[in-house]
Amino acid sequence: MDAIGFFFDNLLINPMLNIIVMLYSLLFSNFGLAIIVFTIIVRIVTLPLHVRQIKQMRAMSEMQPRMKQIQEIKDPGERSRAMQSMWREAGVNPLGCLGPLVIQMLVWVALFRVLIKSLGTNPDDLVGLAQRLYSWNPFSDVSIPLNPDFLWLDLAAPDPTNVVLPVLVGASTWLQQKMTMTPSADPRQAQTNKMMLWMMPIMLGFITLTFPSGLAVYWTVSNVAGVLIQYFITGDLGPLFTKDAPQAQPVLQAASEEESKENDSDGDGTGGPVRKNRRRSRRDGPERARRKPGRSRNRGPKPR
Amino acid sequence: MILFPRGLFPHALDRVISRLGLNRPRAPFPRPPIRAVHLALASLAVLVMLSVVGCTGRSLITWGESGGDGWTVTAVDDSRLYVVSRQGTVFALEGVSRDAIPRILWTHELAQYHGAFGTPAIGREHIYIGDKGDLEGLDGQLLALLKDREPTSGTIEGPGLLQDGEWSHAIEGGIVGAPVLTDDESLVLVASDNGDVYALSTTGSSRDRLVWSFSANGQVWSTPVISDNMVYVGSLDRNLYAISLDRELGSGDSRLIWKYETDGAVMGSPIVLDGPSGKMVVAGSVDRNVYALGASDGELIWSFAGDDWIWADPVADEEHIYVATMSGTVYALDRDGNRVWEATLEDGPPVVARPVVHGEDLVIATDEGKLFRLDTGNGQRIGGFHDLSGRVKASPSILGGNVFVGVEDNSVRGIDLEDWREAWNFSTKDR
Repeated sequence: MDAIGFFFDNLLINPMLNIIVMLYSLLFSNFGLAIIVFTIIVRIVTLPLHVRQIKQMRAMSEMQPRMKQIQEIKDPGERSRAMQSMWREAGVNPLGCLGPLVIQMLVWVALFRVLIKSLGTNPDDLVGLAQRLYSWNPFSDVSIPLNPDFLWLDLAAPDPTNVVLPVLVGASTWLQQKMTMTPSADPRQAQTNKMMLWMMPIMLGFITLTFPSGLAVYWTVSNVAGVLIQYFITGDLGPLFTKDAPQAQPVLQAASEEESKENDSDGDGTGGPVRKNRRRSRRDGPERARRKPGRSRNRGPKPR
Repeated sequence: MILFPRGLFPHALDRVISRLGLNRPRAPFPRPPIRAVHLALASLAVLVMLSVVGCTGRSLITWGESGGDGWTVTAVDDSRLYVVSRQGTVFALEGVSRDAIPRILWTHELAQYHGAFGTPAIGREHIYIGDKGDLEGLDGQLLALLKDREPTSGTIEGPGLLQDGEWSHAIEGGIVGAPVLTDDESLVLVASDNGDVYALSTTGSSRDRLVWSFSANGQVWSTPVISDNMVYVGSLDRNLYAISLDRELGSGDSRLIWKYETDGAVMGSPIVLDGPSGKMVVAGSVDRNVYALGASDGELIWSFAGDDWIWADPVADEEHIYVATMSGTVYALDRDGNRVWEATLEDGPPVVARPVVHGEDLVIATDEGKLFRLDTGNGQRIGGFHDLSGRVKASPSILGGNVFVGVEDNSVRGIDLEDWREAWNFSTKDR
């Protein structure tokens, strides 16, 4: 825990605190503007990661038909190798999409602490703040104490209206998720995506009721920036106007139909061979390999 | 049966599963290696953690700073030590000199107490305690307790009731600095976190309590200082104010005699002392400077640049003015603002508590819980430092050859000034 505390203090909270205090000084002693500009800076710094994430998601989407084919490979080793090979060829790292998310969460957690540390209203808080500000920070002396007022908000306290910021956070999170949702080949996955599309905004909106409104400002601005970045990279707002599992279903359907056509030897259009394959695939598994010779699966009772 | 979550690390997991023979029957595979549900669960875990932190105001991880409202504050009169604990219990102790075992005269648990930061003011009959209030908008209060109150009232079993002759007065925004009495004890002055300075009558009914008030432009954490019918107080709005104590002037801006704007918040209290050309007011600022201003006109006489924020009140003896910074540097200045000596406390701990001068000793407690003793003549350290194992922000008090320090570990330590050893340790928590 000490290591985590050290990491957060020295690599995240203190630098962030000093940057925000500096921005506060430069932006007319307005903490709200400081948070907004800080959010934009974070978005700019993480832009390469974000762009990479979008590209990878697109590539993953385009790989869906091939992924479906690989799913039919029975041997796990071969299947994994095929999957790896596909990712390598496409230049996709499935863990790559984690980067922006992790950074986002770290910044969020750190900002939470920064708000508590910087906008405290009693002497203890200010003593703590003094120890976190770098002595060479030329803005630290003239900025203290920081004014937490921004529009109708006290940035250190929850939104007094209990409505505006929760709705903004929820709506912008929904928008951002809708724009970036990965199409899925797996219906269960698609269902999960659909659930998350609604659950996350509702939950974030709900916890905004109890969190400092500065965090809600950060979250809203960050989401809006994310949507704009997405728009400028992909050039369309398509995902916003499609149903819940964007692109995935048509692609999969097309892939299935293609497969069906290829395998439909009797020409009845029912995809019979695919079903045949499925039956065979069950028999071809390791279970079959271990089956005793001469015994079929539908044999009668075990010999005693 | 699937015994392991699948998909996160397909190769490694498959190898392990195959080796252990756990791979029958198989779930449909492969799936996208990082599934939205994993991300969602991770996000949920973090958000739940943050929700707990946000809702309770408590940290799940120790971040290196102790919380809690208020400090353990001490005050003394001729023979007694008064302690206000962080839990809101007031102790009156007698016989605290040297190695004597202190006797508790009375205790009183304060009702609706949220924390005291300033040293209580001790009058002839009353002790005045300022309460900060809380962030939820509850007002702070000024409490006047009898020094010789009935010992039975107000125990640890529950908040005590005020006795005859005691009173309280709600202060909007709460009190951070200490209350201060006029010489005749007819008025007690307190400054509020809302930026108001109040003069309250110590006598009469509660309706007539407020005599006058004055509003600064920002929070006031400084203890007002009274000298020659003037009140000097610093504000977080960067100004040092001089206001009139005159009862006849009423409330408002008409009280303002002068104000001097520094480049940083003025946290601590000023001191008033004789300067080269009459009385001067000396105050430190977060802009790292010490300012000496003419007491009557607020004209700058001199300023001295320190190495860090100056929060602790300056103190003075016949020769020097002593100033400690948040970097743990102590300066001794002469009355013309020239540096006489400079000392650095070990590891540069921040100094928030007002130092105390005792004879030729300058005793300084740091926020990191160390107690130092310096020679006022040359700044040399006398003896080692005491590690008080808790933060110290409240000003120490001196009585009977001991210096008493309220520590944030809910104790008061008594250090014998003669042989510089810890002679006394009083826990305020389990009583």
